Parts: sequence; structure tokens; C-alpha cells
Amino acid sequence: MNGFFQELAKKLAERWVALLVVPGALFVVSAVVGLHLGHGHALDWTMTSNYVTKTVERIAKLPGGAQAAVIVGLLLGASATGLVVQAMAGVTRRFFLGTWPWPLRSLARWRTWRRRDRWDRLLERRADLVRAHPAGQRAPERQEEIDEAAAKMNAIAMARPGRPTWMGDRVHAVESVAWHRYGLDLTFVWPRLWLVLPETTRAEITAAHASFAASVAVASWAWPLLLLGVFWWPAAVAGLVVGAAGRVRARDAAGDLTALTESALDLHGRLLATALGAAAEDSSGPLTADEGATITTVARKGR
Amino acid sequence: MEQAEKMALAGLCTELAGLREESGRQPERVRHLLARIEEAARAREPLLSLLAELLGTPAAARGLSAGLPGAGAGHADEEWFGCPDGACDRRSQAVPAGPVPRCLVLDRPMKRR
Repeated sequence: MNGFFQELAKKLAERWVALLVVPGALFVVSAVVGLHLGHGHALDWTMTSNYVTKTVERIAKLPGGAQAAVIVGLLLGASATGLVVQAMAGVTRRFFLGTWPWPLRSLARWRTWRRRDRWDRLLERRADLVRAHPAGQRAPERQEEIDEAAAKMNAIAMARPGRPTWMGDRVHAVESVAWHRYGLDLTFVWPRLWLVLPETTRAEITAAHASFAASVAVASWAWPLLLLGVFWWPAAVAGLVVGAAGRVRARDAAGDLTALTESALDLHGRLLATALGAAAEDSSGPLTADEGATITTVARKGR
Repeated sequence: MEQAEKMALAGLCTELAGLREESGRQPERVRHLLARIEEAARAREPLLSLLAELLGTPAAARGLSAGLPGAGAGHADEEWFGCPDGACDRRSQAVPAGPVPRCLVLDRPMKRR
């Protein structure tokens, strides 16, 4: 079994190299070349080739110790870039989840309003269809229209939008469902629910969160590339591609994470209610709003 | 239980003490995964895919959004609410995933019909 864990440790090390050192080294090399080329010769292949050849020749002529210092410098630069990018992950996360700082507040309000307006208009259309074609007397085509309107609403947000981004609204919808349907204030109740969740549920949620964190880490590489793009525009293009790829992955992961969290509330809310004495030990089914309100009171303690 | 699963269960059973000790030194994700494997083993459920995951299969590869079932848009749910004690015929629809309509006479949430 030692071999088994050696293999596991190797894979974790490979993951660290893949996430931090390799992209960091690529960035350092791109930065050195890009800063030399500038916007004027951004795609000048001959100039790039000459510069790389000359640099390699210069390094090759250095004594062994100096060559090792260059490699160590490159690795340090790569790791330092990786660490800065890791630190920027918090900014990327806030950007994705729509908790934007003050210079962007007006934009956030406008985007939230726009998302909510689109959602409300679809809800109105769906309600009109339901009123005009009551269940039982409804033609299959009308049912398809209603299904389509519901699907479009869910594609925007799983509850009435309250954030400027899709991912932010996924999280907002879980909080909204917890509050409106179960009387739970998730900000305070979630840590308590986490402590009573079964191990398998916690493992699934942890895995989804790890996947979201990894996607955010990938997207965070866009920041240094966009900065380099100020001096060498091809880096900005690469930054946009990396950012978009990370965002696509983060959307999938955020969708999974929030679906699992809402499912955990539906399935295990009662566990917390019985643990806190808000429901009888032999009760069953989803949590009621009154039981949830009692849990929220216990968790908030007047705060 | 197929032969490969039987062998995996036998291997896990033999090495479980060492695995538990080793997983204590590993990140939380690995510890959770081992707990899931143990739970699956106790329930006599398939272990091979979980053991493969322990060896590094990325979590994203088995995400909910990765595929079937449930990849379609689904069917609209019409959620109707009625009088809390059935004394009147009022029917009301809630905003999807929004607040449950209330009976203002009784000051109680309406009941799902």
C-alpha cells in the first residue's frame, strides 16, 4: 500500500507543478520575450527567434554556477508568479460571484436589474400561459411553451435574480430557497448543517468546491497575462482565452456546488432540526418553515 | 459481485488499517474520499471507480453538469397553494423558489396543493 500512496503523492506533486510552476515558467518566458518585442514588433517571428537564440547562446557561455543561477531564478520567478496568481484567486472569485467593489457597484446594480427584468418577463409569460391554458385542458404544444419559459428562467437564475452574474445568482438562489422555503438564514445556519451532514454528502460538496476553486485558479492566470498585454498585446489575447476557459469550468463547478448544496438542504435539513430539538426525533420529510425559523433563531442568537 | 470488485474489496479490507493511518497525513479531500470508500464497502457497493478516484481521477470529470441523466431542461412545475385549513377556495401560485403565499386572515403560510 506504500506504493499506492507514493503514486498518490506523485500525482499531487504533478498537480502542483501543473497548476503553479509550468504556467509560471511559461509566463516568465513570455514576459521576457514580450517586453523585448513590445507592441511595435508584437508578432515579429524573426526578431523573436534572434532574441531567443542570442539569449540561449549567452546563457550557454556562462559558467556552470551562473547557468544554475539562471535556472533557479527562472523557477523562483515562476513560483513567485504562481503565488501572486493564487493570491489573486480571491479577486477572481469575487468577480465571478458578483460581489464587486465600489467602483463597479453601479454596473453591478444595472446588471442585476437587467437579469431580474428578463427573469420577471419570462415569469409573466409563463403565468399568462398557465392562466390561459389550465392544466388538464392543455395541448402538448402549450405545455412545451410553458416548459420552455421555465427552462429559460432557470437558465438565467434558479430563483429571482439578486446578483450581477450567473454564478452569483446560483449561490443567491440557494440562500433564497433556504430563507423563503425553510426559514433558514444560511449565513449562520450553514456551518451547523455542515457539522451534521453525512460524510458522503460532505465529500461530494467538498469535491464540487475543490473543482470550483481549481477553475478559479485557472481563470486567475488571466490577470498577469492582461497586465503583460499592456506592453505586448498578444498576452492580452492569451489572457482573455485563459480567463474565458476558467470561467466556463467555474460555471459548471458552481452549478454542481449549488445544486448539491440545495439538495443537502432538502435531504438533511431535518437532521439539523432534530439535533437542535426544533423537530421531534421521529419526524420525517423536508424541514418546515417554522422549524427552520427556530433553527435560525438558535444560530443567530439575536445577532 | 463481480470478480474485480471482490478483489478490490479484499485488498481494501486487508490494507484498511494502513490506509487509515496514511490518509491521516493526506489532505482533507483524500480523507473524505476514504470515508466514502469505507461506507461503500460496508454497503457492498462497487469500489473500483472510487479507488480509481483516490488515485487521481479529477473530480470535475464526474460533475453533475458533465452529462446524463438530467441533462435536459426538464418539465415546468406548477406549484399551487391553497387555504391553510381548507376553509376557502383561494388558490395562489408562488414565485418559483420564492416566498410561500400567506393567508392574511390567519397570518399563516398557505398549504401546497
